[in-house]
Amino acid sequence: MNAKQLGMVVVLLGILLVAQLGQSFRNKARALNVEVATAGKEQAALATQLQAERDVFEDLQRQSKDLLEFVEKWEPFFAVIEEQQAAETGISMKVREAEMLNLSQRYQQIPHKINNVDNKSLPILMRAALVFDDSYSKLLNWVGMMEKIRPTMRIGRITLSKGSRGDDLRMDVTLEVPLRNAPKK
Amino acid sequence: MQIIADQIDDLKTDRKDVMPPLPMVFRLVPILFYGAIAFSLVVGSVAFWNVRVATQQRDAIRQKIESLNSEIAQTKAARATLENKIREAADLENWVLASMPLQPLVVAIVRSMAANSSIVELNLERDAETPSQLRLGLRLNTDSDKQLEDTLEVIRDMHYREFSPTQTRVRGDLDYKASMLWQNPYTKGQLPEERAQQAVEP
Repeated sequence: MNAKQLGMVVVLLGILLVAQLGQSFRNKARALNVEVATAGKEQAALATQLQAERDVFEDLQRQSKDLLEFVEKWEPFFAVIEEQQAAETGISMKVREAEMLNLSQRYQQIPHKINNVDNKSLPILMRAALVFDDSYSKLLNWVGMMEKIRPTMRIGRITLSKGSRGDDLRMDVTLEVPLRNAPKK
Repeated sequence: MQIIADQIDDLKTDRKDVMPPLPMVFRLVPILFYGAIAFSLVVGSVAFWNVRVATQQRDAIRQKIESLNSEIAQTKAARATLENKIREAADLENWVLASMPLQPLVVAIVRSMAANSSIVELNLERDAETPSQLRLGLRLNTDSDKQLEDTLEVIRDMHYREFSPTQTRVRGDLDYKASMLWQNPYTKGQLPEERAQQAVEP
């Protein structure tokens, strides 16, 4: 092979190299286009997912609106766990103020369970077991007043039987005050 | 000074080419070379432009995907918060609905007594598992069953429905036991102030 032929071969190799370079650019562009198309599909899928999530969220908001509004009105009447002592003292104060013959009062905090499952929102029940011996009107007025000032308190048990004097009644009553977790700020 | 070329001999003898000329087809090689360079420039530029545009598009889409992912995460977090709120609200609502005041019921039962009847013992106990259910124990000193009928009528008027009743006579007293289910008359739920007004004068 002479020098001219060698030169031609070199030039041909150069042409091949330049063509190869152009081809590699095209391939890169094609690969990028494929990547863009895949990313576009992913974007479309995510947009659909986002819309579905929003729909679910809005449905949930719509469905729970009445419930949340209802509970919002009641929330201030629920004592939080930190107010456990205050709830207990509140009842014992009312017992003292009533000026009724109080035979016994016992307070305890028990875990609030329904069907043996812990109630996570109202985990503690403050239970007051009280025994009175007094007139019918005083006793029932006091019970009515307690249910009025503490609308979330409930009577777990009430027993009325004959009292120790004349027309007096003996009242065994168990009051239950639910204590909720402090609301998250 | 001008030198006239044909009057001056360079004293060189004409020489034949050292190498034989290339075949004619090789004349295409430079054309091909320039053509290839031009073609590569055009194709390369277009490809380069495409790469740039595609890269920009890809980056924009990736950014959008990131923002979508973030929005999805935010919506999911908001939903989780709302679900927790709903769960808590449902627990509070269940408590409220099942903690109906008993004073009006006790007063109504006591008021239902006729002149010749009296209550020996009245017991109301809330079912721990189903707090909207009460267990009623009523021991009456009465000589007729009508008193019990009247009392049960009053209880029904207070939106309680009795079930599983048992009735026995113990040493002249009428002993009545039943479970009672409260039928909530408030379609939209009772408000705290409405509940506070429920207490009655004994």
